[in-house]
Amino acid sequence: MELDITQLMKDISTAVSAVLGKDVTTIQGFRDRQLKAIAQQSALITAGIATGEITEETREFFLDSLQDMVLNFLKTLQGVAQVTIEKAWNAAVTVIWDAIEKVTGIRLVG
Amino acid sequence: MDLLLNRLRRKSIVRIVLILGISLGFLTGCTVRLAPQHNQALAAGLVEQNKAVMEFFAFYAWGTKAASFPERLPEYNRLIGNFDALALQADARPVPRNKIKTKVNEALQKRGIPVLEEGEIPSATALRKIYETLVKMRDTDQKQGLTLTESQAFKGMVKIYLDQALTYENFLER
Repeated sequence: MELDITQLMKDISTAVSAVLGKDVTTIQGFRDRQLKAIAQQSALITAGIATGEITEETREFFLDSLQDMVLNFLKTLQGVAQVTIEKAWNAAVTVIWDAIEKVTGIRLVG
Repeated sequence: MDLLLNRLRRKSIVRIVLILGISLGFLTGCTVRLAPQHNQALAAGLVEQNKAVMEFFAFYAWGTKAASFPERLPEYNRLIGNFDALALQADARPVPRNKIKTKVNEALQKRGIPVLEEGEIPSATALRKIYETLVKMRDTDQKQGLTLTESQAFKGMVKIYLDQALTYENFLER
């Protein structure tokens, strides 16, 4: 019995797509929420400084915080991308190993 | 910014997995772990403190007067202590290190995505920032009270960081 390369590629694609479909939608939702919230926060702080509603006591804190928020937003994106790649990788490996086990009849330890 | 974010799209991730799979060989190892373990107690604590802190903000949405600060102090301290504990809990998990992770980081970096420092967990950073925000809010409130805009800006910061922490921790439940 030989390994069916065409079927294997199809199975890997199906397994990886199943992981990515859900995760990419969640990542896009997170990205959109964060971009909107950070833009609104920037507008609030700008207006607050202009009117004096953001006082001397908090001005620098809020200005610094905008940079920190954007940086951690991008790091969170990288973090969730890592998890998605991990899931996609594991899905692909599982399909390949299952296919090899079927052909060889040897149980591969994962 | 959009260009950067578009780089995380589906085709990009498929490409990273395939390139790594070919370069490292899918059979060099079993399944891999690139991120910390999910922690159910931490996730539950996050949900609980999300509710508590939003209730607190709702109560003082119009700003505060320094004269009434002592009434709020116990609630400030409770929230600050809880977020400090959550940050510690989030940070205490070991972060996996392996060859595949190094390659993934290189691939992401090439696409302009900032790479996490060794051992850095973004939800732990977000929780530490919430802790710092609440400390600043408490100290300002004690000194001079909070204007309406300051109250809204503190709330905005906490909401953004909570979204980052919750999203990352939910992703870890794989």
